[in-house]
Amino acid sequence: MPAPVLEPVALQHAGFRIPGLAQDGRGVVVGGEALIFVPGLERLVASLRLLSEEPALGDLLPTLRIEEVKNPLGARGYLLRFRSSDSRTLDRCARAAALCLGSLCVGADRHFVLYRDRRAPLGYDVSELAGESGDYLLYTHSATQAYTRVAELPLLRLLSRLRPLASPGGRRAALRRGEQDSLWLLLPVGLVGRVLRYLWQRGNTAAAALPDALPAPPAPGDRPARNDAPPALSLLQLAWSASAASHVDLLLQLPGVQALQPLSDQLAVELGYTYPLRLLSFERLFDRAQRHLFLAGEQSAVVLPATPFIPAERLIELRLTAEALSGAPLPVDAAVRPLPRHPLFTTSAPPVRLPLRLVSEPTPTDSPTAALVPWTQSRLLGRLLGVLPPPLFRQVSAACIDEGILIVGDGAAVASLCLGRLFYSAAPSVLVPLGHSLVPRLRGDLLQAKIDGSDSGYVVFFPSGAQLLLKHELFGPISAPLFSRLQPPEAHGAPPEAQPAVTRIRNDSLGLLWPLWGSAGLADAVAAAPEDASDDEQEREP
Amino acid sequence: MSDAAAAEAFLGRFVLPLVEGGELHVGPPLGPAGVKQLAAAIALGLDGTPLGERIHAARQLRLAALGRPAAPRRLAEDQGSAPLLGALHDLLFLAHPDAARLKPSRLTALARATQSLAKAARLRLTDPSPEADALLLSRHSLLGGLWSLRRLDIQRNSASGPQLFRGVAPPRRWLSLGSEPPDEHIETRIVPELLGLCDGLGRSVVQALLQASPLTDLWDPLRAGLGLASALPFGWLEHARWLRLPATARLLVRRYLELELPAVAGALCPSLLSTLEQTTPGSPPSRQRALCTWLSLVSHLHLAAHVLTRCPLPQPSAQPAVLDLYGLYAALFEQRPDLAMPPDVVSDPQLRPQVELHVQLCRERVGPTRTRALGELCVRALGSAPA
Repeated sequence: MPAPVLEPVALQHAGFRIPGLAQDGRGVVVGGEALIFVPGLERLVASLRLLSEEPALGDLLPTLRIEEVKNPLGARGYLLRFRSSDSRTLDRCARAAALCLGSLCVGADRHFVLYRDRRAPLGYDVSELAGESGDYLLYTHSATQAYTRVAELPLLRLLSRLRPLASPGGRRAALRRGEQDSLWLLLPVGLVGRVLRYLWQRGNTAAAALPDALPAPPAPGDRPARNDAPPALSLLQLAWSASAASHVDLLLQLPGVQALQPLSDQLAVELGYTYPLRLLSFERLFDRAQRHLFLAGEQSAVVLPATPFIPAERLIELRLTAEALSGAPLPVDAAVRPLPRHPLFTTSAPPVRLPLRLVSEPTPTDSPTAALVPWTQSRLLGRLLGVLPPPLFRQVSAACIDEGILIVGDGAAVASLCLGRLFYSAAPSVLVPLGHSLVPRLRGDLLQAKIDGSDSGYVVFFPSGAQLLLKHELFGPISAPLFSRLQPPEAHGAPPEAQPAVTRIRNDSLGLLWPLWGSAGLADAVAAAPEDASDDEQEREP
Repeated sequence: MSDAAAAEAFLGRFVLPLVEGGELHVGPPLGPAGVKQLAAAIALGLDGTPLGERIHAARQLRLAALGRPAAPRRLAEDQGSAPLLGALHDLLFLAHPDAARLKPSRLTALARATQSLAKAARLRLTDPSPEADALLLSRHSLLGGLWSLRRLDIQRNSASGPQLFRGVAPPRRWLSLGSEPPDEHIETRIVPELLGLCDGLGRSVVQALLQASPLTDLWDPLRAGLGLASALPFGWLEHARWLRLPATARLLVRRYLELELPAVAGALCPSLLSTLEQTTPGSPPSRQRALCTWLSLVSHLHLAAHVLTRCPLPQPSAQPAVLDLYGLYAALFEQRPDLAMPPDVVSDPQLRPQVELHVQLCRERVGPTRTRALGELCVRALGSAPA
């Protein structure tokens, strides 16, 4: 390590040895470039967090580069390199660097000398240039250190990998505070229609950014990528109100649904969390054609195409709109009421003409046609729904029973759920748990003929021996069972600001002659009212 | 001023403050002719004006405050809205200080015309249906603020004695010596005053208005603490059919539970027992059906307030009317269990014993003699339970 060679600079210093150094109008030594050296990734993040609060960061961003470097001993560090010759901006950067135990150096090419400090109010030069090899040579009080570039760390990647910090009070406190004008909801594509209807029925102003049907235009020189998989997540925008907050609080019980606080049209952070640095300062780095969503539970930011938000009015099923337009009461409870419990739900076995019993043995078929997901696994089911392709939703239907959510449908679709107890069809509409058989063993059509009502619904045999007849009407879309548990208190529809203000009666003066001819109808009734406040009224005010 | 302009001015000065809050202006009465002009102007599309939209939004907010965020009917979609608004305006005019300048006969005629207007606004629907539910909500969104209507009166104390200016500004003091006491501002709730107008005709008009908006009547059996429970009993027998609308019943159960069952009992029980006493097996089936509906609601309130949420029962020292509601439930459980418990509670192995425990507590609180008497009353009015 060579001895320190720093020389404080006086006003109007001439002949800098470090290339690119000059004195600005205040006499402060500045260079064509500047860099902040920090010894570790944590301190790099810390310095970025402080710099993000600097208004001048926007000017630095276009030239800001982060490089991982190592000295001849192999010690690693990070360099934040940028172009700036403004000593006021550099002053702020130097303060931020000092707080993170880093140092700001100025210079050009590969030679950088320490920026001004208390010992040298105008800055430093060196007595002679070091001849060591390396990509960078940093001249500081302690040493002249050579560094070799290891890799460049893209700032965008670093930002995407930072985890948001939990805010005090979490999500509920953020919902209560209502610091934002709008909220975003990130949810599986399969739930969009139902959530929109849920919000619409409750008078919330919502809009949805639907997945883009077209691929993004390829960059020049790139081969167009072929990706047939549709995005699994979609984004809803919701105008904030007390009522909307209460509904969002309920919707967040749905698995796969997350609330975000938008910072701009491209950036959002999970509600109840704060991003470690001021994201808006780095906004220009993000692709404007994409939305970057920072979630606490994700390793990196979720990126969605920045498709425009379409108002819910354009997306709600027409059937519902027609009902609303006809003035009929909105079916507020339609989506939230637990699915109707048919009398046959709780009664004992369906009428069976022949005593049937379950025996445990290898099943004749491996292809399941139904799955019973216990209520304890409903959240997991919701997460799966967010991952599985939407076409799967159309291949299965579900009904709520005491034991859980019974999902029936195409064998491959049911098998792909990987959840719950699986059932196979011993006969059309007769469901028997896998690993069991019905005794006496009958052919499918014969078995069906022995059970009354199997043509009107599913007959389910449980391993415990219980049997249920579930009518076809009880089965609905698979997302319905998840919504059936969202029972909001009706008072949630009553935001505090919705309470009408007090109405006070004011008797208008009718004039002395009014009783002589009385009222001539509507025109007379309103014409008698004075338009403006008179002196008398002013006196009346307390 | 054209009819449309006058109607718009009326909406702005009277209807908007009625639903949104603020200063509500009462001028000369509209009368049947004015209401006709108002209805004609509304039919021409007043709902579509910015003012109409604002009124509609305020009505929506009022419904949202109930927990039923539904869109009310537009004024043009409810033919009863113009007579209802006209009747309310003219009723308020009867309390106007300038109305006292009219001859008593003319004032009485005006009150009768107002009563006719209110009756014209009465709901024509008889069967509970989604249409009826929408109308109930729409009417309540207009008239829901009735109980909270206030008037700022000013009492001026002068050498000649105190003088009250009811809802009008007192004249300027031209000969002020500077030593007079300041004017006293008194905020008056208007409904009690309306009931006493024109030798009881005011009460008839209020009752007709409440029949035109049954939800307003049912929503507050305590009459906003105005002490009118006996002076203005709510028309529960007429309104029983609206309770068969599940959404309305749920809304009212929530409301009554908020008001607390003992408080509601004081308003509900005297009327209910009086009707039970007057009902015999030969009474019209509609009357018996209405009674059954209300008794079912009472049972539902008991289950929700005491079986599911375990609220304590009132003290034995509570008013007899309050205790009677508890005795009535014990009697119903014994004599008409079909009205005391819905079938799913009957078959629920966990709920059923809790209900029986509650019945036992009710019986102990009221006493076996009173419970037996109430049971006999139920059987005489409604017959015994169907097999």
